[in-house]
Amino acid sequence: MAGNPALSGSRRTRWGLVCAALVLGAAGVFVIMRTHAPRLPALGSYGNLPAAFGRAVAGARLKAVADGYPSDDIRALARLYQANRFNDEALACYAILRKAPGGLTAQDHYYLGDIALYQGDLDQAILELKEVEETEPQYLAARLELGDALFKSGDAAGAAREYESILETMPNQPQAMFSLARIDLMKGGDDKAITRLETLLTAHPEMTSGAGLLAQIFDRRGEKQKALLMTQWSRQSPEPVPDDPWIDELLTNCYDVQRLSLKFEEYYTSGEIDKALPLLDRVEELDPKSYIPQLLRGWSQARAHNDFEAVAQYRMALDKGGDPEKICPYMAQSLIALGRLSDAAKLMAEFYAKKPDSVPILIAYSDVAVRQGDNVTATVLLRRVLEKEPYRVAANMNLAKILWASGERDEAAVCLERVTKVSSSDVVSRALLGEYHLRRSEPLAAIPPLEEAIAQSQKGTPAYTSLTSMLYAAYVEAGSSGADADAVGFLDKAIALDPANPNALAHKAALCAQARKFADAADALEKLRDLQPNNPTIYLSLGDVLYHEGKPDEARVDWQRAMLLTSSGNTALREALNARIDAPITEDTFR
Amino acid sequence: MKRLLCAVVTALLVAGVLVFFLRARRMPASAQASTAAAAGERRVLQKQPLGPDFYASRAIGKPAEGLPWITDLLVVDLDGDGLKDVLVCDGRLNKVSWIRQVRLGVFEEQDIGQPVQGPAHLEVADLRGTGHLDVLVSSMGVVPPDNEKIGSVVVLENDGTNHFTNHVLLDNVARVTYVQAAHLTQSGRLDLVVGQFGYIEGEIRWMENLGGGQFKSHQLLDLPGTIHAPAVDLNGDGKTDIVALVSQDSEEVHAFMNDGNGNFQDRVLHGSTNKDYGSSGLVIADVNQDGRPDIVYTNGDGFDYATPGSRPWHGVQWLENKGAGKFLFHRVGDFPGAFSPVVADLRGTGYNDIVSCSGFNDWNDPDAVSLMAFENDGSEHFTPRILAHVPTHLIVVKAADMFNDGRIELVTGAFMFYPPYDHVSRVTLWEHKE
Repeated sequence: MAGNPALSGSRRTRWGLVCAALVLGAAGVFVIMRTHAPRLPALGSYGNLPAAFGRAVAGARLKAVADGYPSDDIRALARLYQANRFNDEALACYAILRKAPGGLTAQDHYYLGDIALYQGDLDQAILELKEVEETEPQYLAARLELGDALFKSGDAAGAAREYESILETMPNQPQAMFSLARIDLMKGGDDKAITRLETLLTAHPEMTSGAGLLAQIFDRRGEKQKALLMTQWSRQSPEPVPDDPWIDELLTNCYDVQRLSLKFEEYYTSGEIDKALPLLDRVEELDPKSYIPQLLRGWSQARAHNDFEAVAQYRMALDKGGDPEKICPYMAQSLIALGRLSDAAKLMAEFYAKKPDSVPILIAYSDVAVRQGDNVTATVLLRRVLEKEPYRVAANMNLAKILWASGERDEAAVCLERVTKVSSSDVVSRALLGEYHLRRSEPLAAIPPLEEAIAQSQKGTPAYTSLTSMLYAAYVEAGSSGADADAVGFLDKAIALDPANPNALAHKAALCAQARKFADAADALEKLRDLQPNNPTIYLSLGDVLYHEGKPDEARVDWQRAMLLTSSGNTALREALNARIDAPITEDTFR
Repeated sequence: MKRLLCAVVTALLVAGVLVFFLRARRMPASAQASTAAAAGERRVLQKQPLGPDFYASRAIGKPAEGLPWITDLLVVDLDGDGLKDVLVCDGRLNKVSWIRQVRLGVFEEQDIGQPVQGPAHLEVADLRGTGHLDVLVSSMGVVPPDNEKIGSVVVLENDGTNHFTNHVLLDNVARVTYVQAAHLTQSGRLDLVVGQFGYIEGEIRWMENLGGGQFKSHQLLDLPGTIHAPAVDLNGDGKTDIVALVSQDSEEVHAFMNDGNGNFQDRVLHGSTNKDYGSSGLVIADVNQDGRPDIVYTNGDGFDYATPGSRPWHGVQWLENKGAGKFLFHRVGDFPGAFSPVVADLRGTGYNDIVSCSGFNDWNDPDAVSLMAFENDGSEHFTPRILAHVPTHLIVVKAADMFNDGRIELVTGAFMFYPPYDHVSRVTLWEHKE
């Protein structure tokens, strides 16, 4: 019936209600879905990382949302966060995965363990690593980490069980053996630890930490030879980092230049170049403007003595705006190693002009100038270095040597004094200082550095002989003045230093005679006589001393001996002797 | 509506009373552990909030000559005149000096004893029973890495007239970084705890005082890397134990429990599996003032790389002593290059704050922090408060009431090891402005 207003009104109402119900229902479904959708970490600001990281995170989130939050997408996001140390965000993702179908994988648990360890939560780390062990018992890195975490949490027994179980399937696994040796030592089991470590080194000679621990044990037990051998063994390059493919995989998501650089150094230092170099490539890919890859490549080339390549890398690092204070010293070293001193000088002059107050540049530039023999430039630069770092040993020594050669010894002495203050073992500075004071007739100032230098020197060497000669001269000079209360003491030191040298003996005899210590004078003269048995003046002096000691008969014997040794042409001496032998003796006799 | 209002007001009142009583329970009794506030010392509440304006700094002692290497400081009243002094280790000039507070706030410095090579740590004790404090010096031989046996333990013997004479108690050993006197046996004589960092080889030993200046060594640990090894009764049994922070790839906190007769049992309390953790300093203090000594330590050493500097895992943590041998790890906060933890109630609130300085930060960044306080809210939740950005390269900080006025001052020492060197200092006193 067309046109019935009452009927169309109720139909409109019904349709309106149905539509409203549908809309409300859709809204309800939407709200329910939103409420139950995983809460991904909010996007943040990642100012300390390259922009590529932000884009990667945004992209990973979008994908996860668009795909309906599948576990693989959430997992990828978790690892992206974790690789770049956004651990809270990573944990939020793992929390989602825990509730998702399939739950967490062994690798997820391993990564959770890694976060817990980073946060210092050993108990949580142990729980996660035990989960890994349940499902992936063959993953060695996790088992080693579990053992370490147990040990660090104070559960040495639990750690020992873990390491022992590793050895059941992997005999002589080096890290497990080393850790068990540590536990043996904690329990007082020296012998067991030694046996274990020796077995370890036989199977794995690259385990230098094991050698270091053995060296310490042997040293403690007084087994010095063995300790020395182990010490030498321990000084080889550090042992390789244990394989951890899951962490390596995590690092493929890393955008953190510092983290990659540190890992590069770790691999490089332990000789794992194949693992190290790709990390530098990644750094360069992430931040093409960063100079760090070139700096580290240069550093690694220099360590491998490929200085030509090192220089090229350092130059690239500088061209990229790298910090010259960090790069120039390394580059100068490589240029010096290549014998390209003028290139090194040119480089350093360039950056010195830009940074005249930079201590690292000053030091490197002065080093180049010294090697070039450019004393004028070196002097200026070294003085500037020492204004800023007055106690730098190499700079003080270099300047001292230049100034010494040019006769500016007073300033050289100041440099040498500084070296002796900071270096207890430097011999050259002490030798030069001793010589300086000797030339100025300052024996008391010469003696301390010369004594210190001799103590550091090996007997029988030319240096030792030279030092001995100088110190002897200083002692004699200090002693012969007689002014110091220790004068005789100094002469005694000279005699002890060189008993075959008559000089100190003669001075001592004279000094003691002047002081009327005739017995001491006689003792010195007798030693002198033994050195020079045919020297008549010694017998003359000895006789005089014995006479004053109240031994006239013995004195006469020596005078007569002297007469026999005196040549007929030596009338003065013969007369003096005759005065003593034949004539009555008065005080005038001895004048 | 009225009923609703009444209910709300009543609820608020009840909550307020509850909060009051809860906080009242947290008010500390006299502290027994070694914080900067000794038992009985009064504290003056500071209204000024912790921050860059909390302290004013000035250099004390001799001016910096070149780039100083201050390796340790010790605040102590060395001459017993009632004024606190500062003892200083200079790792470059190989000497120990005494910055003496001659009058309140006035300091004069003099060298004491003969040179000591690579001095790294200072303690004082009346080792010989003379009534005067001798100075114990840990000698590394040289400060930069070296595995040679060039370490020694040196005591500067105090004759009571401000003259000190060196006496070597131990030498030709792995580099020594810590020595402290403590009663480790029933003998009544002060024994020595000795931590030896070494480099590839190192150890911890204790030296039994046999009397007559004679000591006998007993080894405790065969590992390099000891930073600090303070003696403390960790479990309240009346016997002095030893706690040690060991770095060099180990990165562990050890406790050596004493049976009272010098027999020690080693156990690890906590450690990091990160070999580059950079353990840098440890101190014993009752952080939460429950009567049990806790352990506070830092990790901030970032030297051993092509590019020295900070690491993101650097910071401060404490191990809470729960009793019965249990320790609970708490991270206090991140702090690049953290060194030298100190526990002190900086504002007089009654709660122990933690202070640390930075020895290895990115000093090219003007925002890099060199001195940080972690402020305790009373429940051992710590909020970082920046105290200073300059001077830089601070390797040691100590806290003490320098002027006996109930307020805590700080003293820092700088170790200028790598550039930039734009903000050089040597020994700096951080005092209150008013």
